[in-house]
Amino acid sequence: MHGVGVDLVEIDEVRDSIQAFGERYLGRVFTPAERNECGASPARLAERFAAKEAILKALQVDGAVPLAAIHTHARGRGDLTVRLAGAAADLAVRRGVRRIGVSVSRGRGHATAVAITEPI
Amino acid sequence: MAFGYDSEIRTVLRDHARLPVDVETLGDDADLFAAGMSSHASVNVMLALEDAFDIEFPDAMLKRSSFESISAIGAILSELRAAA
Repeated sequence: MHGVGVDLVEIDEVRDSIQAFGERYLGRVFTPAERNECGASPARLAERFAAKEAILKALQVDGAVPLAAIHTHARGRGDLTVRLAGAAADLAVRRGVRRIGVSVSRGRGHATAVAITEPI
Repeated sequence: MAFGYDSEIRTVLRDHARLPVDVETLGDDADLFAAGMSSHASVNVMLALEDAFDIEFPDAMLKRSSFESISAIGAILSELRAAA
């Protein structure tokens, strides 16, 4: 069965978190590659945060999964590829997930993402 | 019960949880996510708790249930401080 997850993030919240917690926030949430792709853009980082939360919902997370264990990579316009590590990869195995598709978008003030899991 | 950390936890929640309600109106066991705390705000709460209590949340505690209520946060803080 396919799993579906969706998430919505306020871009200003990401901007505020960067200002309040700086490197600690960025390092706990995003991978170095994601930070390299998104630069200092709160809007792009908000898309990635929304993607990670949508993926966790699609995987029906029931335990501890650090957000940085979910690696997203820009593939095209609004399209991300996903690689899972550690606890996130273990969860995908337990759920029988072969692949995850993610689409992101943003408008005035918010970023959103939808994730769909493909079963083995 | 928040293991004696009730006041400090409520201060962190007031400053970082972006709750649409006054945190003082919430009981210790009230569901913070149901009260309006977003997943993103819970990350801020975690980081602010680390600052306030001079601790670091290990990966194994980075789950929704750790931050779902004042009582749950108090239990985690108690465990982390006892291990320090």
